[in-house]
Amino acid sequence: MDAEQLLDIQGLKLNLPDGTRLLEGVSLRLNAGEALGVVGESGSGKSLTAMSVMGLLPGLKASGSILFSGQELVNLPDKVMRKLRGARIAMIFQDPMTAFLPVRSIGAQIDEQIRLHHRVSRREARARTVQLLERMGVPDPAMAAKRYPHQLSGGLRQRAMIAMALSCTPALLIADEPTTALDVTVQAQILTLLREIREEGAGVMLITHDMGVVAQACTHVAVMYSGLVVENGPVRDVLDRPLHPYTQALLAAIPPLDGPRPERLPTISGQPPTPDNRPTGCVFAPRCSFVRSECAVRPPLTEIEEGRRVACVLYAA
Amino acid sequence: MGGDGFLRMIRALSVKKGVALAVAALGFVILASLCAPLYAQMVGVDPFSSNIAGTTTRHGQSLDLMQPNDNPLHLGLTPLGPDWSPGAYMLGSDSQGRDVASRLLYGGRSSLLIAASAAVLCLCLSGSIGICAGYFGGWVDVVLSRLLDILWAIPVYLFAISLSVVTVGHGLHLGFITLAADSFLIPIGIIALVYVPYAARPLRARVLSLSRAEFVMAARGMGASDFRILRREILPSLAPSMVVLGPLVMALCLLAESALSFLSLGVQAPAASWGTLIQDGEGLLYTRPIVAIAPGIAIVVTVLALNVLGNALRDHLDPKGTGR
Amino acid sequence: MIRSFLSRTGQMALVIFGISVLVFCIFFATPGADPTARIAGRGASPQVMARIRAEYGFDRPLPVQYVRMMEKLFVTRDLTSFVNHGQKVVPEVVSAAPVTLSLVVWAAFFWVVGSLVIGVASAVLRDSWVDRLLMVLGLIGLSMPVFWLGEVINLFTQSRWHDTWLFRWVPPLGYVPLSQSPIGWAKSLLLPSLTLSVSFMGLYARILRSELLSAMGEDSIRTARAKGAGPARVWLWHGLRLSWLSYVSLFGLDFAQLLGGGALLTEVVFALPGVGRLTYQALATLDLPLIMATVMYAAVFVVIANALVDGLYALLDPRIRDGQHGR
Repeated sequence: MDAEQLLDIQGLKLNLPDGTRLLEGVSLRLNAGEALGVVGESGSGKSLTAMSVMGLLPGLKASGSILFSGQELVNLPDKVMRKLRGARIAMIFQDPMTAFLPVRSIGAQIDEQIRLHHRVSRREARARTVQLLERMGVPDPAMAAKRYPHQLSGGLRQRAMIAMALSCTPALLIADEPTTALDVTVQAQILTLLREIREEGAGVMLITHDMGVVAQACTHVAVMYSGLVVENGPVRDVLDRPLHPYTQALLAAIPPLDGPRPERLPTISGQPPTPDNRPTGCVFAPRCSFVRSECAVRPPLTEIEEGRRVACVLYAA
Repeated sequence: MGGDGFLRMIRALSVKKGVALAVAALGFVILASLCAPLYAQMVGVDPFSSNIAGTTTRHGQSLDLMQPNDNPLHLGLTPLGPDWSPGAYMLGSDSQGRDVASRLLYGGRSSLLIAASAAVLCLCLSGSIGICAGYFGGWVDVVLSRLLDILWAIPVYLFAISLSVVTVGHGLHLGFITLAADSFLIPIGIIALVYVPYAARPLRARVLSLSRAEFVMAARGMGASDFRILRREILPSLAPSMVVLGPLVMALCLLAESALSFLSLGVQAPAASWGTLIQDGEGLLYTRPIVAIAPGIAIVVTVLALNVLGNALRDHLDPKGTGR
Repeated sequence: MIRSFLSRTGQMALVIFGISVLVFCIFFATPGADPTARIAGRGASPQVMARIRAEYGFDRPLPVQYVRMMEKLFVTRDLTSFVNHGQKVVPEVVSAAPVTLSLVVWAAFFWVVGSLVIGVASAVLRDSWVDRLLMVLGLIGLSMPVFWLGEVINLFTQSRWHDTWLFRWVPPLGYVPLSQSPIGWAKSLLLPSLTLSVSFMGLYARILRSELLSAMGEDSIRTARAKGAGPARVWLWHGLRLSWLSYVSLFGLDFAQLLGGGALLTEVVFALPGVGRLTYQALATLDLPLIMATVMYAAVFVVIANALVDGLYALLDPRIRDGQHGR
C-alpha cells in the first residue's frame, strides 16, 4: 500500500460488556499531510472512533483493525500503547477548561508530557514549552506557562492544549470538537492553526458536527451515521456532489450563505436509531426518502470512483 | 413518598446482601432489647439490684455468684463466669452479682431509645435550622450559620461532656422546664444538640439549592405563599436527605451515648446503657472480660448495621451525597 | 489579599467571642444553679464561698463576670481549681499538652498513611473482593467505640497474650516522656495511637476512595492518559492531586478537634496523662474551672486550625486563591 498511509481503520467494531454494539464496523483512511474531518450527529460514534485510536476505552471490546503507520493498535498492550500516546498520536479535547488539571499551571502540564516521552531536564522541558506556546501565538508565553487554566481565556487555553498535544511532534493529531466551546473569531484562529500543523506534514483527524468547520480546515471528510461511515472522500467532491442520501440531507439542512433565504430548511424526519434498535439493513433506511427493497441488506462501503467511497444501494455496481 | 414507593425502595435495597444482613441484625437487636423484661422474668433475677451474696443453679448444682479467686496472688472474689447455656447467668455475673445477659438487654433498651430519639430530635432541629437559613437567607442565614460555626468548633465529645457536667446531679431547670437528673431527656437533648451542626450544614445547603430550583421559582411565580412553598415543594424534596441522614446520625448518637455513659455522664443509675455496662466491666477486664466485651459487640453490630443502611440509602436516594 | 485576611481574622475573632460566651453561659450562667457553689465543689466552707464570690464577681452583673473569667483564663492565667487544693488550672493544662500532642501526631501519621494505602488500593481495585473487604473493614473501624476497642486491645496486650512473643514488648499502661527515653516514648504511644487512628482510617479511606473514583471520571484524567502517562502516574499524581482538597480540609478539622481534647477517651483507657485525661479527672470531682479551661482552649484551637486549613486550601487550589469557587 501507499507508504504515506498514516491511519487505516478497517471494520472497527466496539461492544459494551453487555453486547450492545456501539460501532458497527467503521472504516477510515488518513494519509500524512491530510486532514480528515469526521462528521455526524452526536451518538454517531465519531468520538468513540477517535478514542479507540487513542486506546482510551478500557472495558469496551474492540475488534477489527486500526493500522497506525503499519502497526496494529487493536488489542495492543497498554504499555506499548502508552509509548505512542502523547508522543506519536496526540489528542485535543473539546473543553480545554476541564481537560486541563485545574490545580496545576499550564506550563507544568505541558512540561509533564514532554518529560514523559523525552529524557530532558525540567529546565529544557520548560524552554520547549515556552517555545511551543509562542509558536501557537500565545502572547508572553513564559508568563502564560506559569498561569493556571482558569486564569487564561478560552482561546488561549485551547492554544495551550494544542501546544501540549504538539509538544512531542506527533504524526497524528486527533482533535475532538476543538472549536465547539469557543467564540467564532477564536474558532477561525484555531482552525488556521490546525491547517498549519497539517501543512507541516502531520495527519489531522478532526471530529466535528459542523460542516463549515470541515470545509475550512479539512482535505477529506468521512460522514458517520449510527456507528458506521456512510460516505468518505475529498472534501470538495463530497460538499459539491454528496452521494449518500444522509450526506445530501445533512448538507441541505445548512442555510445557504447567499441567494434568497429558503422559507423552511429541509429537516431529516425521525431520530437516528439507538444502538439496541439499529435496523439490520441500511442504518439510514428508516429515514431515507429513496428507500427500496434492497435496503434490507446492509450495503458495504465501496469505492465508486477514485478516492470516493459510499455505502448505499443507489450506487451499487 | 407513597407506600408503594417505599415498598419498591425496600425491594431495591434488599437486593444487596449486605443491606439485608444489616436490616436483619438491626431487627434482631431491637427485638431482643424489647424482650428484656420477658427475659428477666424468665430467668427470675432482678438485673438492677445488687446480689453479691446470691447463688444460682447450674446443672443441678448451686453455685455462689462470687467465686473465690482462682489466682492465689489476687485478693477478693471474682464473679461467676459465663456458661453459654440458656438460663440465668448465661453470660455470668458482674461485680455486683447481677445477670450480665439481662443487663445487656436492658442496656440495649436505653441505648437504642436514647440514640433513636436523639437522632429524631437532632434531625428536627437541623431541618428547621436548615430550612430557615437556606430558604429565608439574609441575616437569618448569617446568624444561624455563625451559630453553627461556633458549635462546630467545640469538639463534639467535649461539648457533650460540658453540657452533661452541669446537668449531672442537679438536673435541668430552665424556666418552666424542669428535668430530673436521671431523666433520659437530658442525654437525649444533649446528644441531639451536639450533632446539630453535623446534620444542619448539608440540609441547609440542600434547601439553598432547592429554593433556587425551577419548580420552586414556578410556585413562587404562581403566587404561592412561603408557607405553602415550604410545605408543598421544599419539605417533600428535603425528605430524602433527612431519611439518608437518619441512620447515620443515629449511629453517631449511639456512639456518643455510649461514650457519655462510659464517663458516667449519660444514663444515671439505676438505669443502664451499653456504655454504662462497659464502664462496669472495666474493673473486671482481665478476669471476666465478657462483662465489658459483650456490650461493646452489641454497639459495634448496631452501629455497623446503621452505617450500612445509611450508606445504602444514600446510594439509592441521594447519589450525590449528603453529609459524609 | 490583605483585605480578605483582615475579614477572615475578624470572622475568627467573632467566632472565638461567640464560643467564649457560649461556654461561659453553659458553665456559670445556667439558671437555677449557684455558680459559686459549683466552683467551690461539694462541702465548701462559707469563707471559701465568700472568697470565690468576691474573686469572680458573682455578685455583679453577668457581663462583668464574663470579663473576669476571660481575664483569668487568657490574661492573668491564674484561674484556680478550688476542688484541687488551689492548683492553677492553666499551667496544668499546658503541662499535659505534650502528651496529647504526641498521641495525636502519631495517630494522624497512622491514619493518613493507612487511609492513603487503603483508599487508593480499593479505588484501583474497585468492585473486586479486595475493595469490598477493605471497605467493610473500614466501616467496622468506623463503628467501634474507641474506648471499647482500647479495652479489648489492653485485654490482649496487657493480659491474655502479653507473655507471647507478639506482645512481650508492650510496656505497662502510661506515658514515657520523649526526653526520658525516645524508644519508651514510641512504645508507650504505639498502641494508643493505633487505637485512636482506627476509626479515622476507616472514614478517610472511604472518603478518599469515593473522591478518587469521582476524580477519575474528570476530563483532565482522560487528558493525562492521552498524554501517555502510566496508571501509577495517573492515579497517584493526577487523581490524588484532584482528591486531596476535601481530604485535607477534613484532616485539619479532625486533627484540631483531637488536639483540643477529642482524644479524651483514648487517653483515659490507656492512662495517658494528657489534656483529655485531665478533663476526665476533673469530671469526677466536678472541677468546673478546669473543665471550662480545657473546653475553651480546645475551641480556640479548632478555630485557629480552621483558619490554617482555609489558608492551606488556597495554597492547594489556585481557583480559591483567585476568589473563584472551585468544583
